[in-house]
Amino acid sequence: MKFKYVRIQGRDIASSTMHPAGIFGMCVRLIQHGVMDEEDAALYREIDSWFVESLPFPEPCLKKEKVICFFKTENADLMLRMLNPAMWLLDKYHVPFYMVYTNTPGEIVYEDEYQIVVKVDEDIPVIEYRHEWTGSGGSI
Amino acid sequence: MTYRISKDDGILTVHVSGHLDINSSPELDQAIEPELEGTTVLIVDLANVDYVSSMGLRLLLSWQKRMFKQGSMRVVNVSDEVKELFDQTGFSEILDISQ
Repeated sequence: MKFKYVRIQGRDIASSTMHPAGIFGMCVRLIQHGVMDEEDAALYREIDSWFVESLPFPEPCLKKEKVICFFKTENADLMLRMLNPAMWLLDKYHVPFYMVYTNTPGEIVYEDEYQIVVKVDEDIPVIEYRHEWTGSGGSI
Repeated sequence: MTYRISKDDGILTVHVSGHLDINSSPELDQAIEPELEGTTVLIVDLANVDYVSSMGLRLLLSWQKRMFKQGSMRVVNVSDEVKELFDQTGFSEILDISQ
């Protein structure tokens, strides 16, 4: 089966969307938390700047709306090749990630030649773990 | 790290020796940057490079990005060790490499 869209995402939830963080967010998080060393951070920024220069910046992302992005698989070849070093960086720092393919990404609120932006479901309740859940008599 | 540059009719060739890392990359970057003006073919000869760090990869990527816009870039005489690094990091699918 051929899929129209692909997204690289991790396990951790992004607080802004309550959905798994995308590859750029995961790398930025490693830098912000001081996990990624200076040389690797410089490499990541070089990769990121290619995307900034080469792709339109979707307005919903600019406005920090609750959205996530997918690449269009038909035009994603060069982009995925340019992301290979970023995936290597995630692997180097033991950050698990997945390639998520879909034909039903959700409500598309932005689209260009290379990518789509999809509104995330704002009604999904995500509650941080509390110790009492696993204690005696605890309940959600 | 040492380097040698030759330029002929839009073809810029850079021969690099030693380590391409955080210590050497900025110097090489500064030396090559003005030479890229008007360059349509960039040849990076890594015959005597035995180590490339992430900073070296960053430099190669920055040149490749520039040459995507104004011509082409080839990385030649890559050692087995450096080729293995390019394979691991995905650079083999970005750069035009020949051993």
